[in-house]
Amino acid sequence: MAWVPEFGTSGIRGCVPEELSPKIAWQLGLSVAINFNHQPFLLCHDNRTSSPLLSNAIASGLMAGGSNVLYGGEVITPAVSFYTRQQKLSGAILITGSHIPAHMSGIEVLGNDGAPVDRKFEQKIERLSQSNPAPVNWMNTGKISTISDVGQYWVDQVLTQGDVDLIRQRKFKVVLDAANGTAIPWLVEVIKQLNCTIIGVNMEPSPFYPGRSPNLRVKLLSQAAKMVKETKADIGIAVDGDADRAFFIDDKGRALMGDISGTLLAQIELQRHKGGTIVTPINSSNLVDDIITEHNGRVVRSRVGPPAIVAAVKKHQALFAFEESGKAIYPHLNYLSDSGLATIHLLEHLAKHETSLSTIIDGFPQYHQLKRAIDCPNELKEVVTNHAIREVKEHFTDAKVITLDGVKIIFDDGWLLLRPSGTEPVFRCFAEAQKKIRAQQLLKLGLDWIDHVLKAS
Amino acid sequence: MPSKSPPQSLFGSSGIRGRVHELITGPFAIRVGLAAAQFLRKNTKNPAIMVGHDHRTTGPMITSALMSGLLQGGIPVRMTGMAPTPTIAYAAGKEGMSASIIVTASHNPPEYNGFKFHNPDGAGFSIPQQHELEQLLDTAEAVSWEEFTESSSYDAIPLHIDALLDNCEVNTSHQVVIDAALGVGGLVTPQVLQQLNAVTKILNTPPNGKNYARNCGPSKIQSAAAAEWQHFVRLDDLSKIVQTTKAEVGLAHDGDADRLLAVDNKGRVLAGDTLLALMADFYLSVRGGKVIATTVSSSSVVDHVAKKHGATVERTQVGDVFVSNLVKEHNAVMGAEPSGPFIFPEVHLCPDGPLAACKVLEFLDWAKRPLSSLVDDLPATHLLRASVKCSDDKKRPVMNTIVTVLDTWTDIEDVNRLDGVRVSFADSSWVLIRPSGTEPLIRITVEALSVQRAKKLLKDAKTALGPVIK
Repeated sequence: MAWVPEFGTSGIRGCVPEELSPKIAWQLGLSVAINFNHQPFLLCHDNRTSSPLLSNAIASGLMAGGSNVLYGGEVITPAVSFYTRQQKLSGAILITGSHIPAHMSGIEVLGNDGAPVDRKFEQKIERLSQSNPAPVNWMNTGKISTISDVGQYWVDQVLTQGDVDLIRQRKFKVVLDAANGTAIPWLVEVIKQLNCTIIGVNMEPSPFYPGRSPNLRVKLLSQAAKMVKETKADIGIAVDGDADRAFFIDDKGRALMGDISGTLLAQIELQRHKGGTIVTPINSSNLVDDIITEHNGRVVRSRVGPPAIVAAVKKHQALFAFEESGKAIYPHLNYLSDSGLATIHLLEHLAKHETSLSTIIDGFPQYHQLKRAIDCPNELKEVVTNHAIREVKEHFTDAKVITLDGVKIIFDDGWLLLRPSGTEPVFRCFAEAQKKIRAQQLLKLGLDWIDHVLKAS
Repeated sequence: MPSKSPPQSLFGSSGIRGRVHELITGPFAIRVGLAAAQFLRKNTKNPAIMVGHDHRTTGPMITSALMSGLLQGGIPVRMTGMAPTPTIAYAAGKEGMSASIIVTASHNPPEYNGFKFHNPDGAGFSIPQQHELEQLLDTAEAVSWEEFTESSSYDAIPLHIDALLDNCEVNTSHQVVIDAALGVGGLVTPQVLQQLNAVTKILNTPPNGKNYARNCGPSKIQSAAAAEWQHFVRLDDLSKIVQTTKAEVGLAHDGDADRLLAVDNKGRVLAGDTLLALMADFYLSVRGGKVIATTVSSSSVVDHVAKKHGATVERTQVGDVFVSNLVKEHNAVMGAEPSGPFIFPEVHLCPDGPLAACKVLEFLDWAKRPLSSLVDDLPATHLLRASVKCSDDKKRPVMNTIVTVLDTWTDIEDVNRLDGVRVSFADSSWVLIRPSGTEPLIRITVEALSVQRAKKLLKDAKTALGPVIK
């Protein structure tokens, strides 16, 4: 059991309190306050059972480190980064388990631009925590105050980002699957303001996520997909537990994979801005290359995980970024994925072009992507990855091998990616090809490789 | 009789107290919350708790950590924010909570903080309760994740103010000066007294956790009596302003307003025993009753008063927890200590400074005479207090030795070892030597009919203690 905070690819995550205890949360707060020179911090959380206890511990740590705490309470995740950046705050701490199981949670530290802090900063925090830093003098201990408009501010701002009147005229019928999560009041407010009829699925807020897993996977959305068909809705929108991520369901009831909807959202941005750079991680479908080049775009591939994506976004001044997990980042407004911005831009596009989501998707080239995970203890990941890189390079001399994040092997008719998960004790295998049978072959090839390397390591 | 807490106990006579970042840290507060949660889960049905803090700069930091522990332990929390100790304790009882925890170090210097634990009837946690809680500090466990709880905020102050107004009847407008010690009493007492038609002038408000109220840190304390009160005792300004404004009374709180001291219309700072005796007289007159509850350290003046009414005085150990329990045990009409805590059981068993302030006005209404003349009517005795430094670990051996030394004195009538050692003499004078429950001090109290006798007793006690401590 760790007694100091350790960051994974997406903040600090773990079971509460065994891995993520109030004491660790307190130490994190203290170290962040000291590292940020005692500046005020926004503190918000999702609707998990552990959120109040963790936020109180972090608030205490921040105050012990001399930071004043602006407590924003339970709020939809994209609103936190939005508020931090637009209100020019010095930073925020966000307690959210996002899509992971209900008994776990996570902590993300956002800088003054609302983006997750970079790896360097995380390492500084880890080192500082290990050194058991001294709190500030009693006289300079921080205070706490409550702010209640973080969510509403986001709603208001999202509604300025599209042609609201045009969307309102279309009177969309929308199925919303809110995963019983944190997003419900705010996302509902946005969609209502757009004059849409909402048919709700999993709309009762509950920290136990009784309706479905707070994760986003196509197969988790069968109920919402069915509802779209039954009610002849124009679109289905499904979010993860804290609603940074969104999946969309077309009017034929097909839940779209995250890199298909991500590619469409990228295309919309390219059309709105007449070209630009799109960032997406190495595991996204090749579909993006087809569509983006068609719309004067440039694709930059990054490592997987929000910090890597955001780093690439900043480096390349990207217009838009997405991840197959349903993340959609509009960097000029928000460095965290924003389901609200994705929704308004997609609806605006459908209204403006008087088209349906299925029509657009049917026009896309078809790719078959398959994913599988194999158990792999965290401590073995590095050895296995290095081993895989070495052997793959030796073995596949004809293919293009990319070792940006795990190892990606690109063949003429498809690709294969083997990479360790940053958040779970598993090794992932992604395979993609235009032909289904080829994708299956590649997946089997990949799984055999992981198996082989695991045994040898 | 409950056994006294061992010297290594974290609990003093009213809760846990210490310097912030030494004993009182965030992680420690988390443990306290977790332990309190397990304590309540074990001892109460549908447990819930009220939590708040005084005006100290470290109050919100410690309170948040405490709440984290409580929520991890599955106890729903109502958070009052900054409020007086009696306000929080009162609201807890009224709202059906199982207990309250107040983050306060009472009258200690501002770099201190701590925890006071109260039952729903307002009484502080008893010694057995403190023991049980202390043992849980190292063993308490979190509930499973499905049972983690949430907190909600709650404004306790209006509820307390209403209760004070409901329980007091004042028919004339009194001129009062209030000294709120830069503490949380300033959030309640001025408001209530104004609603009771008092014309008030308020000193040392609003609450400020950074400064020593009345410019009197421990290092600046000069008078012997001041050591007892810390920054609660320097009432020079209050005294002056009572005189210049020709007020009828000056009323002073300590930092968390569970205590009250008074200045009479001539500007004299009244000894705690004097106010105690006057209020006892008032309560026995208007409410009847047979018993006044107080401690071994209080003056015999209250005994004279009680005798007049055919009532008795019951004495217990120093500490409001003991007085509250004594009030309950003997169905006393009032409980008080000379250090300023007043317990009026018809409202609750928590020492309540704002309530005591209201009661003083009620008393003036009833007495229809200037406070100074009422004071002058009391039998004159001379009570002196002093303290000598003594580290916590030395307290027990010093006390054991000093008993044998005192035994050699002459004309002894009685030796009482209920709390420290209280030796009474044939001329009705007495000396009490007892270790402080909250500070590294041994306190000496003496009382005699003549000032010479009192001074001599005090000097003798100091002389006896000196070599023993060394």
